[in-house]
Amino acid sequence: MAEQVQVDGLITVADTARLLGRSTEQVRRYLREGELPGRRMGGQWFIDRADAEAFLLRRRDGSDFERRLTCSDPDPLRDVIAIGGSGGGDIAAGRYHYLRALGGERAE
Amino acid sequence: MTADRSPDSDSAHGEVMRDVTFVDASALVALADRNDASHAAAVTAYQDLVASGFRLFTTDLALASAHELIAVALGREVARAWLAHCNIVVQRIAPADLEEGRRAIEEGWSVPDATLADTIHLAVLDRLGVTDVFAVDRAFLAMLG
Repeated sequence: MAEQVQVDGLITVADTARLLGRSTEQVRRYLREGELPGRRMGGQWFIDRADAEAFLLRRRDGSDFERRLTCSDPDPLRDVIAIGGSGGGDIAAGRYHYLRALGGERAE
Repeated sequence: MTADRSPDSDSAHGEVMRDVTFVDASALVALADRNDASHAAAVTAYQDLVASGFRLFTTDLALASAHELIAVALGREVARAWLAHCNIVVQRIAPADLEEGRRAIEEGWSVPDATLADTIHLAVLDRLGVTDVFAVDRAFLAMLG
């Protein structure tokens, strides 16, 4: 049986796989592709627990984002098109130009 | 009006999200303000995106920025109604997006006209793997290349 190297703050591929809910093969792929930072010591990959937890948060955030998009209104801005009228701004020129074009007290 | 970032652009996840478009504050304002110089073009672009089945999202940062601009330019009541009826998905910026945006400004990676909001949004797009952007702000569009 291979000797297990233990280093403070670092976890193994197997631990990381459990944390992420992925296979060890998938974790090794993340490591090889640089998606998940890790280091090799004594022939084994080790991952900083903080990096693994940050990776997990990013993944959850991304999954939630995709789910919300899938369920989202396909025409989400229909009720706010032409909801009001300025004195004739030009937002394409940038926010400061847009506000300056309004003049007077509203441009403050 | 709309921009598709380089197909070489890669997300932090190594995956690119298709048929998803980020709507920036300038596009939100141009759609809302019927007297803005870009309004008609923005409405056409928006309708094209919707008809093509693109899913649209913005960020909390862009939403707040647009609300502020609309409140000043169109009035607080209009801004309140706009916020109440703006049904777009809002994605929160992450601490890492802010840090990356700050670094881009502080270390001069970005174009000279870039704002912190612009560089933060580039970080968000990169993180989410989104390559399509709906914006009318010429400076932001120039940044996207």
